[in-house]
Amino acid sequence: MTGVLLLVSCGKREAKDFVDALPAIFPDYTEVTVPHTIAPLNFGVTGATHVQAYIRNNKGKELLAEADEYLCIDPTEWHELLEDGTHLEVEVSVWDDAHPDGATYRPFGIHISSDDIDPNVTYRLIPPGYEGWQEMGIYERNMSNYEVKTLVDNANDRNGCMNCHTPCQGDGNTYVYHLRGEQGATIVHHDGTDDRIDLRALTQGRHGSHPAWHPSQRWIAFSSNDTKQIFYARSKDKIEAFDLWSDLFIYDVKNKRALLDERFTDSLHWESYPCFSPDGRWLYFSTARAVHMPEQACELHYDLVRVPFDAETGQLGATVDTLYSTSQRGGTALIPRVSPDGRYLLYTVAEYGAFNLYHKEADLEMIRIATPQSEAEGMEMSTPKGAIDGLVDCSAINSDDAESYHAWSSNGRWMLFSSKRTDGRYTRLFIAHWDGERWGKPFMLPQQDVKLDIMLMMAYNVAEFRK
Amino acid sequence: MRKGKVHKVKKGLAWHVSPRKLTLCLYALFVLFYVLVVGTRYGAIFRMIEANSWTDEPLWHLCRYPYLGALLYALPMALVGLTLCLFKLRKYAPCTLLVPLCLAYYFAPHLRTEEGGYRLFSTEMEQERQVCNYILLADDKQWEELLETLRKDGNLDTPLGLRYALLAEGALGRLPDALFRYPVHSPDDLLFRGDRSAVSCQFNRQFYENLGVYDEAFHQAMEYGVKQKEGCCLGTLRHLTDYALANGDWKVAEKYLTILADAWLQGSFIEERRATLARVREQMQQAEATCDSTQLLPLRGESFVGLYPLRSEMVRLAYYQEGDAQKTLDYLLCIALLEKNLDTFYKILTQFPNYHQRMLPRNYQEALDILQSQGTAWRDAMQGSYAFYYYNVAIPNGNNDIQMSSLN
Repeated sequence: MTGVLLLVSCGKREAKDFVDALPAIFPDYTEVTVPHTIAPLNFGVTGATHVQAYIRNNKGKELLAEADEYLCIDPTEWHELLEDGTHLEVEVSVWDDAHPDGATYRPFGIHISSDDIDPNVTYRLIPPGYEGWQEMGIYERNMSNYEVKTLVDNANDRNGCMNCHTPCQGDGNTYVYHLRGEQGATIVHHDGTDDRIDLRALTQGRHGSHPAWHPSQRWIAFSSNDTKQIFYARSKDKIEAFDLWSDLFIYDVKNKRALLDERFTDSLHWESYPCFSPDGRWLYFSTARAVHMPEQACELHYDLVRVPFDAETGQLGATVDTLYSTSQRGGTALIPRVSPDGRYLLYTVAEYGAFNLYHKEADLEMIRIATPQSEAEGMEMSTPKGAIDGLVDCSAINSDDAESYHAWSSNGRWMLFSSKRTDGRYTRLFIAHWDGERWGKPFMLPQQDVKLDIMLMMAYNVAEFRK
Repeated sequence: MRKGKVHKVKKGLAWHVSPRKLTLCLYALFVLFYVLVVGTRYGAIFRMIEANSWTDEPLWHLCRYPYLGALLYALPMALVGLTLCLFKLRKYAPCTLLVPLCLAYYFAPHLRTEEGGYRLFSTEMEQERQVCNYILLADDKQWEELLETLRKDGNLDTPLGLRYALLAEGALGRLPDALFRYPVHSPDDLLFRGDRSAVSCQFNRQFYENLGVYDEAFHQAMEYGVKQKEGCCLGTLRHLTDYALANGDWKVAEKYLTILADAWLQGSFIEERRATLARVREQMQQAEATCDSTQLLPLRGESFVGLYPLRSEMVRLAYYQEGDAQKTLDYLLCIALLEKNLDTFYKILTQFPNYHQRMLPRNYQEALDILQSQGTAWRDAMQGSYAFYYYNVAIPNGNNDIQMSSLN
């Protein structure tokens, strides 16, 4: 006998019907690809009176989970299945109003990847995009289990706001975040100490947003944005967020000074969402011709560009390469993120604007910016302006709703992103596998109690991997 | 004379006060107090629970379980019953202990002020009750009763009372006639602009709901919910569900219904809305499949709320609103009147067809009369119209006779 039956079917019920379709489970874990260390993918069927699932791996190990509505899979048994196998088959039976005697659905697969994933994710929880808040915090979640710990919250000051918690390439000991309000400051945690930085004093009144660490940990690129939001009266998109202006500057962690480049602080162009390449030689960001907001909101289109960066002096180079040209391709391209191997550039595209998370049509897009051949020749691949030759198929990770803020895992095999696909309003975290050629179907960050993601009236925001 | 009795002679009447009678009197007083003060207040408390706006209360969580809350509020009465039983059994000592217990039960949790002091008969709670009552009446669309209550409470000249009165008049379609019966001074009297307090959010929600601007009603409800110390209350969740359904956002409505299903006593609401949700989902899926733009909201609308001055916002709303924009138009015209901008008033009145061939409300008619009396601007604007002819062209005497004669 090759397989070991982990759980004898003592509580097993026999469903009378068979439905030749995939079960309507929440979250949708059908045919997803998961890391071998992920916590149990608990799921359920809303409105069911009983749900039963046989989960078996390709080595014959099996477990049975059952519940009234939402399953809570035993973690020990689950991890045993994942350790042994490369593939899971899940057979779900559901008892509900449509099938009072139960119906067994067509089994679906879950693919187990041997690629490692960073063990934690950090994220902020905030009300979904309107003006006020009471509770706000930045949290760290362990993905192998369900442990969540609070990194910082506003328990002592309900009006306090904190945002943009950004670790340096997933390093949990080097990070930056902002505290807003009268006592606000930018906190740079580096070498075991917290530095409270008043960026306004260093940058002629600019505050910092969207920080990006240089891999050397000496530099942080910030954009400075004057962000507003307005509300539609009758629309599928509910909010339009925009900047009245935005600039770019570099902060020197070592000497506690800010470097401003006149080209990227003028009023004719707006710059946002900086990101260093993993080798530290380039600074990527989005830039747009300034328009009068909000009247010309539809005419706000951000290109994706990069400039050389000198890690010795913190100076930006003379040439500006355009990687996504809106004059040729239309739309707006935001939040560039270079894969750790330096080969791919991932970003979000929408029709217009500076905040794609509020646009239903916003999707993730990826282009190849270097090939093994160009790397061997020691050259960056030359990407013609607006070219889409290197466009990678991202249909597997996109949905009808907004996909936005995204982050690579440290080995470049996983990508964490936020999406509003579950209900159109509250962002939830999804993780997709990149095998070097194509994207796997993403899975929603699993919860011990499946209902948590339904009951939670907060949105996940600015999520990053953390080692 | 029996031992233990106290004899008092006052104006010829003898009072026999025994410990038994003294205790009885104390309890009678307590029951009277409880019935009069707590009992009447209980109505207020229940209204506040219903309105779900009562979150400073230490027993705030009872908002989620109103009947449990009612039970706990009735507990002092049960204690009184218990003490009466003990009293009958002549157990006076425990009876005497229960008196402060009853009093403490009532006073301790409910009379604490935010400053840490204690209040006995403050007006704060009464004001809170009144506000909750207005919110509930407006939610129930009991506009006449709302107006009557505002009058009785003497709140027609308070900022909130005035706005509720104007909202009720607007909902009843009487705003153009009734506007100047109230102490109005500017368009700002119609709603709360730039005020994000919880009460303002509640009012603004009802204001935009009344105009059929459900996205903004949703926004205001969400703001109100977020401001609650203990999180979004059930009342807010019900509003969010309704506005989401009104806009066809069935996915998020389903989320809220699932949350509501975890609370008590939401059964009938959930059942009704689930039926609506099923209908809306089918409609939306069909409309999306057939790309039926009449059923679907635009991806991004043409007008914003809260961005422009109120008149400008109302113009956009009236222009882009689907179906009957009568209420929005009336607000727009009333805003023009409040701004004393009669040229704009006239342009709006003639641009929208709503008042073509209809008798004008009194204030509109008066505004036209003033315009007419002002002359030039109005004359320029009205040239070629019947109104111009009617108000400005004098008919020569005997003209009809001449015409008639020639015809013969």
